[in-house]
Amino acid sequence: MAAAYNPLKPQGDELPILSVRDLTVAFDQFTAVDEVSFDLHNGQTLAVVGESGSGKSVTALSIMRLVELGSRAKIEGGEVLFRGGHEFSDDGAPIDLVTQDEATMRRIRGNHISMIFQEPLTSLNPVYTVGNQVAEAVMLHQGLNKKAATARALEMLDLVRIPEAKRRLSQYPHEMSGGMRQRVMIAMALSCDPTVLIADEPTTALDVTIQAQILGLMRELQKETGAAVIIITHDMGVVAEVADDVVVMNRSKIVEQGSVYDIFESPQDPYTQALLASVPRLGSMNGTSEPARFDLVEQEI
Amino acid sequence: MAELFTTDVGADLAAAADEETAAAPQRQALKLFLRNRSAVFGLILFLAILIMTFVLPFFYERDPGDLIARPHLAPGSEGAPLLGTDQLGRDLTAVVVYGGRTTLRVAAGAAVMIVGFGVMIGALAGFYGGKVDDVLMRFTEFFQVLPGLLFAIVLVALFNPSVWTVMIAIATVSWAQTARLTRAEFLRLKNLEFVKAARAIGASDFRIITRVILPNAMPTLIVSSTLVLGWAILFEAGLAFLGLADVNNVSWGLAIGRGRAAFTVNWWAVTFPGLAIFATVLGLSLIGDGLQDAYNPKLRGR
Amino acid sequence: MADDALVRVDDLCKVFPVGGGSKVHAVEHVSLHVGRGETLAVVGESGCGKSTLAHLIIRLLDPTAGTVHLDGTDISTLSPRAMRTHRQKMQIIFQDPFASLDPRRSVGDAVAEPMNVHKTLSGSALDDRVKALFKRVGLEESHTEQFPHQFSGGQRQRICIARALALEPELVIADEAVSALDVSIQAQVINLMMDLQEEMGLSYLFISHDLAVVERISHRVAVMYLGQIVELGPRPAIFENPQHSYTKRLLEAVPIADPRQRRERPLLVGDIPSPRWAADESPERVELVEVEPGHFVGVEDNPGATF
Repeated sequence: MAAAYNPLKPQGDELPILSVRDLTVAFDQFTAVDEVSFDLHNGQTLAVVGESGSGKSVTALSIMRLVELGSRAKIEGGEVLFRGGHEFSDDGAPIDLVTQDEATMRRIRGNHISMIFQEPLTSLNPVYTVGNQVAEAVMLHQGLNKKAATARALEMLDLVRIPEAKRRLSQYPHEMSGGMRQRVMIAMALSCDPTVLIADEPTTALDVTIQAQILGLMRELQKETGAAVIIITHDMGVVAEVADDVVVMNRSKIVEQGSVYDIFESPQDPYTQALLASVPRLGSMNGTSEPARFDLVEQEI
Repeated sequence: MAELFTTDVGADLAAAADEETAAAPQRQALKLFLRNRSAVFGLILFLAILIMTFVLPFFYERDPGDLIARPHLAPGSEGAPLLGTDQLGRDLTAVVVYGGRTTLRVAAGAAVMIVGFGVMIGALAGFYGGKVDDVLMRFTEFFQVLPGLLFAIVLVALFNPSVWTVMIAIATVSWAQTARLTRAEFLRLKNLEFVKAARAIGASDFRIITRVILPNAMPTLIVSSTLVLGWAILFEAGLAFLGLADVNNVSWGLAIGRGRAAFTVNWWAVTFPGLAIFATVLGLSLIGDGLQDAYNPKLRGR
Repeated sequence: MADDALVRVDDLCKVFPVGGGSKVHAVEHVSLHVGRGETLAVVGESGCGKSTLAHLIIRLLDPTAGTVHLDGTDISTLSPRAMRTHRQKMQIIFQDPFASLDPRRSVGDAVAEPMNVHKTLSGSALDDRVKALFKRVGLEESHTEQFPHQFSGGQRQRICIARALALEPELVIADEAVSALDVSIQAQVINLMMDLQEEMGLSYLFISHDLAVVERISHRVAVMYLGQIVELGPRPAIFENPQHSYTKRLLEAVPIADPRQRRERPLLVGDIPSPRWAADESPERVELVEVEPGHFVGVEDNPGATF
């Protein structure tokens, strides 16, 4: 599973680890996710891209079944077929996460499917040390005792290349920089060797040089662990950098999906075309000296 | 305009202050607390009261109910104990010392009940929201709109005044406030990302309530608890003043109530227990303010 | 440096005292100018002092040392009263259009406010002017009666731009003004800013962390790092021929919206150091050397050693 997924290479008979089928999520009257379908394979990075309000984050939270908690959202239809949790089905058939009970979902979350969030400061609990929090997931799912879990936490901090990991274990989140905190989040998410990692805008809150470090780290860790990654982002630069396949969402619907090369080089949908036209591309101004307007596709987005 | 520019430049500054040399948040708060003069004064005052009521009796063994001298002996007069005697000739020093024990025990018991029950109801309401919240909050409001003192009087009168009935009466009419406060804290905290993150690693509701949200609500709840304790002391005194107290266990409030008829000839029988109540509540409220500032340094001066 | 520059900043410093006797050198010996009708972009990462620099230039903060000349007048020491007339020539747009508008006042009022404050117009002339401004930034005249919550983020930023233009300023400081907008809206607002520059001869001081946007909009670029300028020059020089190791590193970090240009990411670990110093310490001053006309580069003892 170590080989990186290559979108240009046919997938053969390998079944997707996660299949989202006609997923529909509504908040009262408003349909936030409208019949969304896509597949995710082992070792693959799928980017779900869209602007604010496109439904991309709700899609991610729905896969984890976290969307209905504490909000008026309701998954109204569709299925999320997961093939990674063998202990949940007798015959190796996929399980539909939409119909699982809360207890089963708790065993899946953080263990088989993990998630990292946009704000590395607020995603960590301010009253516990970093070591404590990374150890938490392992203790929860793998029944390790405190000592073994702390050892695992140390191993994970090393894995995400946090310098002086041992000293960092006893630090509190506010004593770390944003980039370090996001590394901790990644360590936490990967501590139980999940088969799917969902990253919701993981670098949006970070400075560009730190973003580059985190993207590089995620790419490297994916190679090492073979996990499938769904990255939710609004940044076409990040998409171009990390994605194998791309799903473009606009107004709760998927407007286009395909390999990253297809999307960037021959976008078919007018929305995708308009979106790409408004993305500044570093280096596109080489050889000119005056500022230049964006050549916007005339369309009300 | 002014607000904006502080936030924007704040970004530059915040980035700079990132590696603030802070240890554990609790230790940081303790440091700030000990730097606050009025808070330390409050703490010393309260500790002095605690020593007086719980340590002094070992060195001053006397039954506060015994008639030891003539009545109405002013402090400092011949044959009088340190604080004089009351209208029946009881030793006021003993009354203040032993009375504090009763008052503080009743108040502490009531405060524990208030905080325990209030936090439980508030946490469940705030965390689950929806119907659970509706039901629990209607229940809470019912207790909130009761005329507290009146209801407490009825309760105590119905069940014979004892240390326990007084405690329960105070708690019954006072927990609603704590429940609302806890609910507000849970509503604020439950949507923060780290709670979402805790769910995403598969934590159960119970775990999230007790191990994730509650520790973050602690600062507010600790501050509120000190104020609740002060409130319970005043309430107990109020009830005892009206005679609704266990007559076998003298308390500060009871002593004031007993002495009030003779105030014109014996001011000290009322004044010393009164001062004791005043000092205790003042100490607690200074501690509460100090904790508030220590936990939320940015709110200071508001 | 050009003597006819609209804004000239010389040796500007701002030191904030922070707790425990230490201090933050937010802006250190910054010198630059903004020419008429020109866009100077100031780029850098959080904590580099770019926002503080913007606030110093527009005198929302007072500098610790150094001068700011606007149209030849030193405004860094002017009294608040004398500052008023000069303030009309400079306006600032912030990142968050949600926070910049009073939710209880109509957006027409918001745009009219600067003209009321400076008493430049009143009555029907004022109304006409507000309507004209709305039209100019791509909004409907009828929008003036509405309230901020009725607008999208992009429209709100247009309203903020209209308000900034009300007093016909010569310099507009855009402090991360397009950073919070969706990319399609961002492109529209940037196009609008360029149109306005062409028509009104505006100068922009464009504060941003987004190098791809900066490449698009600027004539010249200043790169800030830990409160100091480490490289300054014409946009093509900075983007196509960067000299300072920090500029290079910044440019290398930008993800390019083209999957064929994927970059190898070295597995670096590093944080941006803090501009916090003990009371008796100061950062070492970066000397700028002109390597080609108008292109200044900070001298490095040990290139590549920056964080």
